[in-house]
Amino acid sequence: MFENVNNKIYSSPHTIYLEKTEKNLRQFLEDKAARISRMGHDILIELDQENSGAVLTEIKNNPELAVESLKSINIIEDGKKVYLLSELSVSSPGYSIILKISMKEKMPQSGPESIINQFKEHYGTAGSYGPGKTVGEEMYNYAIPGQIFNGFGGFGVDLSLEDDLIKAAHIDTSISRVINKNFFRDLEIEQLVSYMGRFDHNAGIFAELAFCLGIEELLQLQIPRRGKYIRMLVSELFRITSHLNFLAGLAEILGHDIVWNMLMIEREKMLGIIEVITGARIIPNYIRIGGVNSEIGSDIIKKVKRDTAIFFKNFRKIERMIKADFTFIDRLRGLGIINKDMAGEYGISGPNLRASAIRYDLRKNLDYTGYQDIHFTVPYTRNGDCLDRVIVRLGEIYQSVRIVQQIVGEIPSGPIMKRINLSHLDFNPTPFTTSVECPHGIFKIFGEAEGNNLKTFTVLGPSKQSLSLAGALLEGNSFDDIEVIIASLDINSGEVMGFV
Amino acid sequence: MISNIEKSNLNIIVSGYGCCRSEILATRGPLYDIQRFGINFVNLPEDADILVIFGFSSESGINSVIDIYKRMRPPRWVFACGSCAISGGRFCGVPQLVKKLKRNISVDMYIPGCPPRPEAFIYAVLKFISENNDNSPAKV
Repeated sequence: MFENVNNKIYSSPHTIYLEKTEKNLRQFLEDKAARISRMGHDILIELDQENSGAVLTEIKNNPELAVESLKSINIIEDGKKVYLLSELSVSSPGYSIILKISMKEKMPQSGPESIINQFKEHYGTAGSYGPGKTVGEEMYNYAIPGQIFNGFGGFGVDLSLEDDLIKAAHIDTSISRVINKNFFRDLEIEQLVSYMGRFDHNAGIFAELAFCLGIEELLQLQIPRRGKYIRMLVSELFRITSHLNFLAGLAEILGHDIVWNMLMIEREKMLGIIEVITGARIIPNYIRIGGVNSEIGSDIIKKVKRDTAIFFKNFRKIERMIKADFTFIDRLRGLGIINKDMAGEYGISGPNLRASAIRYDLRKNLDYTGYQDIHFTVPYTRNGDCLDRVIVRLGEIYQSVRIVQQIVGEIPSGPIMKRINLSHLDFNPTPFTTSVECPHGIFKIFGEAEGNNLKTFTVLGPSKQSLSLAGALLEGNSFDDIEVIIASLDINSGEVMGFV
Repeated sequence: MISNIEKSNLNIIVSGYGCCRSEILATRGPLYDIQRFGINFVNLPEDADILVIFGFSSESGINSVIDIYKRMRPPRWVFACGSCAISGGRFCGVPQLVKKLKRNISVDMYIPGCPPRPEAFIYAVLKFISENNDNSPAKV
């Protein structure tokens, strides 16, 4: 209790740093930016299309800001105007500068090329945005279509091949540039929660959690402790199933049928536990603003305790099989290496980042839903190749089991939800961002609440960054390695559907 | 009218991405094991008997689905799986796209759900087999 009161009265060093940066930015961009505001752990700069070039140059060249990477470019609509939203990340204190550029006129579906070209001048990673070059045009001579190739989600790959060596690669997201940017328009905020799970096809709970945390931050809601614990429990169960799905996909590509079968059985068992708790398998619709949807009884807690113990033993066997098998180890070692600089440049996060020897995990660094009470470590490796990305996820599964066992051992009693009347919400126009650590990386959303609805909404990561990286990572590798490298990045097709 | 299925196995090609994909591909696993009914998943349209459409697609995505359908050899059938492919769903940007798809492709079986469970998919396939093949051992 004392900590909670304390945290609200005194600003953290991070907040003070952000306030200073905000003031400095106001001086630097005096007449160029329409509005500069602080938004949670990030800074939002709103500007017009004419000033975008000057602002980008100022932000890039200013040594005080030290912007490291362009994370994503998105398009959002508020019913009247179209905006281009881009996220620039500053890694040393760990915050983002979000640029909201208002466009003069409505853009075609292919995206606003002129502004994307301005980004391309400053950031090499902007190359994967905007309309791509088609096969036959310029350098690409071979295409793998997105929908029929096993292992890809909502994208294809255009390749320039010399024999079987990849000279250049471009990720083609044209089939997935589809999402209705107004899907939230006629829905109230409370109703929107159930649609959020569709942004993550393997672990829908994290999108729901991110959205609810954002709204709770706007409402300054304090969640009951039992609600927080149940949220953590379901999140960790979903993290395990998502990682099992990742490993199963890789085992299938490498032709290791026994491991694939064993992983699929374990995945179904974990989905069975999730189904008992939430009532659904992959799109749970379980998190609510203020807590969670339903209570978990003592029988369910006993089941979770018993089943995770059995899972732990079974998974040890699977891990031994993976680590003893040369088809896994020799095939993946030294393939698709992401070094520290590359990871920073593209702004990747989550297990992919931790495989490149950067130990950054929001559960430890930001502590968003009560992870401070739980003991766990953040596994990381040093080489950054495909094998390391597998080993990090193997380690994370064990840590998740450890977290689940702690939660079911010491779950507090009390209410699961803060009961508030959400039917009369009336927000002033307020932007918000929230980040949670999902199995693919840092799941980040941006939205603007107005009245009882959302004005704008978009998902900012993490698969967009991994997808940008995939093109660069394929270059210099052999044609056989495409599937393995892309599968090792664990790209979630749910986020890719909003690609510019 | 659909002609009767003459062969014992059915090859399925899936087209699209999304939550439905992970639920349909889960039927290959050891728990559901759709292969015990002689149903296989293939990658080449030329080998496939059934095209399963799901997820939302842009213009080029729809063209790619139509292209896959044209490359399949008759007799060929189409299943539409999940809310997005059936009615467009909430996330479909342009509702005309679903209409365009249905103008070019005649759908034989609708599997509702968002996403449908793996059991629902297996039920639909077995129902389809039992209705079109009198000698099928898989009667639902």
